[in-house]
Amino acid sequence: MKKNSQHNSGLTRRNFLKTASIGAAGLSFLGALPANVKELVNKTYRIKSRIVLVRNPNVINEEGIVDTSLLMEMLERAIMKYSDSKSAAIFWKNNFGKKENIGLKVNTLGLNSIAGTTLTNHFNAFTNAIIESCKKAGLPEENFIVWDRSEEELKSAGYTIQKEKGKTRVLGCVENRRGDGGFGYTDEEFPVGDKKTQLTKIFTEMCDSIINIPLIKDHGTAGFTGALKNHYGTINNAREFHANNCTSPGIPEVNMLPIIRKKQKLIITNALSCVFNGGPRWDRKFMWNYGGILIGTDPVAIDAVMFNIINEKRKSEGLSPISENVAKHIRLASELGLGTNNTNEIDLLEVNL
Amino acid sequence: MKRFLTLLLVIILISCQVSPEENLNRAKFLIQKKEYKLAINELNDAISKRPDYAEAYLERGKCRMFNHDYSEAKGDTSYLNKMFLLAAEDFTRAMELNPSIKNEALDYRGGVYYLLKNYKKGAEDFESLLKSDSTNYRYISMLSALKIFNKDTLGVIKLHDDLIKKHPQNAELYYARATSRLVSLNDKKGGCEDLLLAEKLYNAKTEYYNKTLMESIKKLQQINCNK
Repeated sequence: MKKNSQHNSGLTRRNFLKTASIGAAGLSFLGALPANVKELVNKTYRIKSRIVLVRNPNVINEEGIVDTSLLMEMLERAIMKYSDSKSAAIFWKNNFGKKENIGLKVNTLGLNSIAGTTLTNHFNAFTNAIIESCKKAGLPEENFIVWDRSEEELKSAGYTIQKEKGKTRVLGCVENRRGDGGFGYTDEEFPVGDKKTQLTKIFTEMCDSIINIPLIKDHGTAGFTGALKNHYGTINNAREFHANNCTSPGIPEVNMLPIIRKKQKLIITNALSCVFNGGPRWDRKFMWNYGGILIGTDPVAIDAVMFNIINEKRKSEGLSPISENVAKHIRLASELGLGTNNTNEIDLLEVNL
Repeated sequence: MKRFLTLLLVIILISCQVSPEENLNRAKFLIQKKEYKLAINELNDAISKRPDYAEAYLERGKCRMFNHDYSEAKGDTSYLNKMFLLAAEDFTRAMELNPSIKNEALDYRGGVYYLLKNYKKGAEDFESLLKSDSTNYRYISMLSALKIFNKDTLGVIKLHDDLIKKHPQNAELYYARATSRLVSLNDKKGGCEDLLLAEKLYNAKTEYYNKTLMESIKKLQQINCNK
């Protein structure tokens, strides 16, 4: 097992708590104020959203080459920690069926400047690691569908489009950014606030469940793109949902769609390589190897943790933090009941390998 | 031949059966997804296979405490209380079966007793917890509140007095006693004295959370102590 020394710029549990909340919860534990007891009980006795963060910067080098065996070790440790399981296989076997078609929703937007280089290697390495880990639990690889908005973007991340059954499929909702071809979208229109959208048939018809695989990236409009924003690649008209930092209506409402809530079983963030500025486009000068994996089921909580990670990095680079008022979709999603952005309700478990 | 086939069938059935550990593992994932009803089914299954499975009782107690899907209540207004009582029973069973999870089970059971408005029993649980961790402010806070609900305001002050005797340099305890004095007993003089002591003790510290607590001391002083 490869060991790594301490990480200087890591997000510690302490820093996370420091930056993300101003100690109201600590205060609520003090003093016998009967009026606050109900709140205290509600705050105290609730299931915290568990997020596991596993890090090892050696998992990816400057050229973007991934140490796949270390990546597998990190992934399985993360799964085991998250589920209190003795092995990752137990978790996969217990929670995913052998006949279940599992979508892996990646985010391959904005890769033009690095397409065709080794800097995109982590995309394939990451989804391969998940599939290989599941295979050990007896889940057939042909049941997996790696998908994103367009075939063109998937190719830019180094994926080869694969539509044949019998092996892992790699599919785009459409062929290119003009919206030609592909598997297309549902006839049914789903309400998103006062607007409507259609969902890709890959998601509605081909996948029984999905694992959301977001990245950690700065985003010019939404402030930050993580698990919640990743579903803009699930709908046909994301452009219509960019007003008011993607919230009028936008990211929270899309994620509220019952079918998305139901089918999204797990979130595993590919935080091997991230973008701390100038996003959503990948630009060499704003990329950094974080060497991390995050796992959770609460998309708001995982975004809240990732939001702190990106702001820590920006701070270390002398940049101003992304404002919570810009990345307000995280708070708004919490207010809609999609999850929690309250650090006192997040159980962040960190593992440094 | 018949006996052999029966035996074979039994072996196949046993090997296909999900183990109690797997049930618990599934339940924990469902709990993360807040699917408490499904989690309870898994835990029922685990307990039916292994009736002494303490962890399964503990998790089932939590599910019964948090499950807000009352579709099975069918107009029974006492349904929620019944669920809380069952949760309390689960926590009791869990701590009986496995003393190493006693504190966690006591903590949850104390909370359930609060929800059941059984303040006396709730207070007993937090008193037990404080014996093993006398500076846990949440325990102190819960116990204080339960005592006040039980109209035992003097008991609250005594609780803080005892704890302060044990930990005289602990600023948070003075703060806690101050709030009890100010709010429950309307004892402004005593409350402000405690705030002053807490302020002095806090001043020696620079930690972030203490700075935040200092702000609340100042706030209470402004309201109650003409500061």
